[in-house]
Amino acid sequence: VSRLPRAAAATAPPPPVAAPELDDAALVARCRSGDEAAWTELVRRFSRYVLAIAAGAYRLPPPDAEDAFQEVFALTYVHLHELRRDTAFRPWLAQLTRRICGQIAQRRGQQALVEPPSDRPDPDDAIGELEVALDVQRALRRLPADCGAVLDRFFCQDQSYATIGDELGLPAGTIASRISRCLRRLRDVAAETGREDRDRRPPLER
Amino acid sequence: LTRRGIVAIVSTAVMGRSITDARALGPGADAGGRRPGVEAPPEGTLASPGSGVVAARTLVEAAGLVELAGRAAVEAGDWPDARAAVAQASALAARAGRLAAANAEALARARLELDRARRGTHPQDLEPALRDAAAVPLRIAETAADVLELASLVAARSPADVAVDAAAAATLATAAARVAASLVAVNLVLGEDDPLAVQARALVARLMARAREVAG
Repeated sequence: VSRLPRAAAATAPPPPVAAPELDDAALVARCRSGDEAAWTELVRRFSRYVLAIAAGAYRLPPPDAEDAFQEVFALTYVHLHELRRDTAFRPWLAQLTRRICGQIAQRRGQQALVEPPSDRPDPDDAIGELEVALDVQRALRRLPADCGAVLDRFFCQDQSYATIGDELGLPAGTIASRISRCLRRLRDVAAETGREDRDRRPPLER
Repeated sequence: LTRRGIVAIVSTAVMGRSITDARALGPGADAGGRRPGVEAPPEGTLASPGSGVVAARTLVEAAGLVELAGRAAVEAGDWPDARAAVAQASALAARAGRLAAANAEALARARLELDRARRGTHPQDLEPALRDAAAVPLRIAETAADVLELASLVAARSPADVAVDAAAAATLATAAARVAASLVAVNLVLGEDDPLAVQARALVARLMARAREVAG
C-alpha cells in the first residue's frame, strides 16, 4: 500500500498524530483523510487479525494466507472511502477478509469451508474468539503501562511470578495480587470501552 | 468436619484400599490388582510417560483445585479479586499442560540422541537435547512455585469448605516442584555445577521455605 486513497487525494493531509494512541474509529478517520502514518498503524494493528482469520479460521497454508493478507489490505486501501461509519471498520474488514479467503480457498481447489469438516472449528467461532482477543488487546492499550506489562508477561509470555518480579524490580510475592488488581482494571476499561462504542452507534443499532 | 471433608476422607480411604488390596473391591478387579477401565500398557511400551510429565500433569490438577476454590470465592462474593485468581489458575493449568507435552517431546528427543551417541552417530546433537530435557523440568518447577503462591493466596480468601482444596493444591505443587527440580540435574548428565542445576536447587530451596510459611 504505497499511495493515498482516492477519496483523500484531493484534500491536504492533516498533521501526523501519534497513531498508536488513537482508537480504531479515530484511526480509520485519519486514514480516510490521507494520513500515511495512520495507514501504517492501521496495517500494523489489524495485520494479525487478518492473518489469524486466514490461517486460523480458514486454515489457509502460509503462502495463501500471505496472498489473502496482501489482497485484503490492497482492497481496504481502495475501498475504505465507501465505509459509511468509521466505528464499523472491524466488522467490515472481517467481512472482506472472509470473502477473500473463501475465494482463495476455492481458487486453490480447497473446500470453501461453507460447510467446514466436523474436526475443524467453525470459522464464525474462530472469528468470534478473535473479536474477543482484539477487544482485550484494545483494552490493554488503555491500561497504565505497568499493568499492561505485568498482564502481558504472565498471560502472553508465560513468565513466572519470580521472573516478572526480577525483571520489573517487584517482590515476587506481590505479583499474583498485582495481576489480580490489573485484571480488575482491565475489566473496568473494557466495560468503559464497550459503553463508548454503544454510545457512538446510531440509536437504531443499539 | 464439613460434609465435603468427610466425603474427601471416605474417598481417600476407598482409593487406599484400591491400591493396597484391589481384590477387596470385588470381582471387577483382576489378579494384578487393576480396577476395571485401567488397562495394562501394551507389551514393549512404557507404563508411564515419566516423572516430568507426571509432575506437570499433577500441576494441571493442582491448578484446577485452585480454580475450584477461586470459583467458590466468586460465588461467596466477599473477595473482589476472586475472578482474577480464577483466571490466573486457569492460565497456570494451561501452561502446565503445555509443559507436560513439551517435556514428553524433549525426553523422547534426548533418548533418541543418547541412543545415537552410543552408536557413535551425531554426537554433537546430544548436548542440546540433554539441555532441553533439563530446561523443561526447570520451567515445570517454576510453574509449581506459581501454583503454590496462588494456592496459598486463594486458600486464605476462599470459603472454608474449599480452602482445603487450595491447601491440597499447595501440597501437590510443592511435591511437583521437588520432582521436577530433581530431574534438572539428572537430565543434564553434565554435572551438578551446571547453571541450570544450580538454578533448580535455588528454586527448590526458595519454594520449600515458602511451603513451610504457607503450612505454618
